[in-house]
Amino acid sequence: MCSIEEPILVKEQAPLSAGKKCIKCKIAKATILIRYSTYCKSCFQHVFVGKFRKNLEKSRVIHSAPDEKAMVALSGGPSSRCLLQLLRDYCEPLPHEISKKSTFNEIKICHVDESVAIFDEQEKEKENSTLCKVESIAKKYNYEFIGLRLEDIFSPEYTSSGLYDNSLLDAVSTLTSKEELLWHFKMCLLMQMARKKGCTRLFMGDCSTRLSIKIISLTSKGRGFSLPLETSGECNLFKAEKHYEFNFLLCQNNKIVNLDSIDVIILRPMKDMLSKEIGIYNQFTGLVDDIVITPTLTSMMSVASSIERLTEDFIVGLEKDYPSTVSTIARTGAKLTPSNLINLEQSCAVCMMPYKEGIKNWQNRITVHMKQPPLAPPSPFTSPSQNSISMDYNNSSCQCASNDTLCYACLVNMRDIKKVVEFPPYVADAILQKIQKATNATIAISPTANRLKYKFFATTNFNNKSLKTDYVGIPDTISNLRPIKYYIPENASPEDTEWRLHRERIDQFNHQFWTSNNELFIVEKQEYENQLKLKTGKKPTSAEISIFYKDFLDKAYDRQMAYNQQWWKENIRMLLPGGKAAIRNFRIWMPKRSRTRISFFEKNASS
Amino acid sequence: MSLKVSLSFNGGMELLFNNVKQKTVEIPASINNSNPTTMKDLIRWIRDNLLKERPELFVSGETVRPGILVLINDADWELEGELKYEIKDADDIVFISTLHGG
Repeated sequence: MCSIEEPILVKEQAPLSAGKKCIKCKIAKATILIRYSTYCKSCFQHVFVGKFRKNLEKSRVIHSAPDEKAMVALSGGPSSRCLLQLLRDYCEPLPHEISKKSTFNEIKICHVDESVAIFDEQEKEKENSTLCKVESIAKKYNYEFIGLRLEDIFSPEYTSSGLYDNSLLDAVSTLTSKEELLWHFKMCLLMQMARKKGCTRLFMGDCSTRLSIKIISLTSKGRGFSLPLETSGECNLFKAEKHYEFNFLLCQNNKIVNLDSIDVIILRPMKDMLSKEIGIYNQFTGLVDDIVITPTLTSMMSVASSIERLTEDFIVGLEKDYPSTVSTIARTGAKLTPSNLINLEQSCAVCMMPYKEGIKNWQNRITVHMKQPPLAPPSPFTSPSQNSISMDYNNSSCQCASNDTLCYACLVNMRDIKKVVEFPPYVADAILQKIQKATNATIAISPTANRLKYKFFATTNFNNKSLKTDYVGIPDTISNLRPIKYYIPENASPEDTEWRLHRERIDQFNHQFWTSNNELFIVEKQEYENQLKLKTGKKPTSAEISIFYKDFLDKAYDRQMAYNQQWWKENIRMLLPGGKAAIRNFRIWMPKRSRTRISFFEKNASS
Repeated sequence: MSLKVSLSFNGGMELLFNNVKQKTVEIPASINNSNPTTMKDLIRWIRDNLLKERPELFVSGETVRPGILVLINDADWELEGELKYEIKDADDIVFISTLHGG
């Protein structure tokens, strides 16, 4: 494996290696170059399958219980397609290898169709749905196929009708956050389905190229804390029965794990294969014609459209010139172990991963320009609209907020959500559980309350008197203005109070205007886009949108003018109290200044 | 004189070529003056003649984008001289994308 002894192939020297022999059989002409090793076709396939089997056999979890059920997460892409084939070959030995025992009692295939999030309404009707295509692949195997759609995350009742409003994902303004949310929903669906079907092993097709991309991109998204869990070859994070009280165990290679406590273990047996190896193997075995190309959110987009995409481009580009990039990152990543600080009881409501406690404090420490009120950190969730539990919720809402319901990375993602949106019920469940735990109270949840509405808000109600200085909050999600809480001095003069109240009034005026203006803008833009979509059937281009911008501004002329006039008036009105305040400050400052001047002269005279 | 070359686009590459997975094309034996046609010439020829959209998702400079595998008659092109490989008649050239985006 180690490539130190071998001559390093520089690009220009590549033709020289043309006559090289396979390093395995040393007879046949080498046709495949994997990192610095050359193989012939048959040896390559042999080594590739061997790597997979070695990976499976290395993990004790495979052997510990022979009658267990496993689930394969099949996206239809090259890696998971290959995984399915290899796993079948492994579990159903050929007659001459009959001595090998079959490992799993049953294997199920699960696919999550994401097309709802990627295509528009009209495109969805066409053959873009991946579900049927993947099902036809799965039919070639004698395994049960479970087809899910992304919209199932909201409720099972949506499965048949296909009703789904894309409002949640539409409200996310950046592709990075959208990809993240999509991934969490997909993971949640897979985990829930695995549990429901009694599967204790979930096979994922992440190859080493993908894992190294994940290691870098998750780090840059602020997921470093849960990174070892999300990228390890074997991860048992989820405990049976109590879904939200995670008991986690990272299965070490030689450690025997108490299987009674294990719910679903995620296995990634492809973790040592490069995407190049998988591509070549699929080509040689004919699997290549059996692959479903699932477009992603960033398909056909520019390189910098999301963090994940950018990282992919970076790593793959680097790998071309330095073929050990991926394996170095993946192996270094595999050495990571979860921090001792991980609290198994605490997990993020959205991504279900454990998080570091006291994120708010930490965030406040490292953020330069954003001052957060120290007493009541803004929680992204307000009380649900359901009357039956809103009272209980109000009582405990502050505790819920201070306990934190989201991890740092999800909190960052929430900043990209610009509207009031509804989250899938599993998020609601997780939050309710947290509140219950925090208050020790049982909140009666009616079945309908499962679809709680969670609203996002940026400003919090807190007492100005507790402040020591002016506080500037995070920008409002709609008006984009930063709320300011003014400092109230203990011995405030009437002028000071008047001045402060005046400024508060004007802030309010600005806030109201921009909120209504922006709300109108969002609504009209949506309508315009929908109309265009109906007409042309495509997403409007930026040129078409610019027509709307012009129209909107033209229509808003009177409103904007009235606002401007009011704003100018207020500015002039502010001159007087502002001037008063300046004079007052000058008076306070003057005596001090004159005193220092005297002392200065005295000093001068004495010297 | 011209060469008959069989081209395949797999792993998502076909999306760039109007969902055409296989194509047999005839290209001149010497595109570039009197020199024999190499992979470099072929890639430029594909970009100019076959590519339907987004050339930057296929080529990067003179070569293919990183992450795209090229197999010439089932052999890794990195062992065949990459861009300098001289194309012969009836060669079977496969392009496989291993990337998610694009």
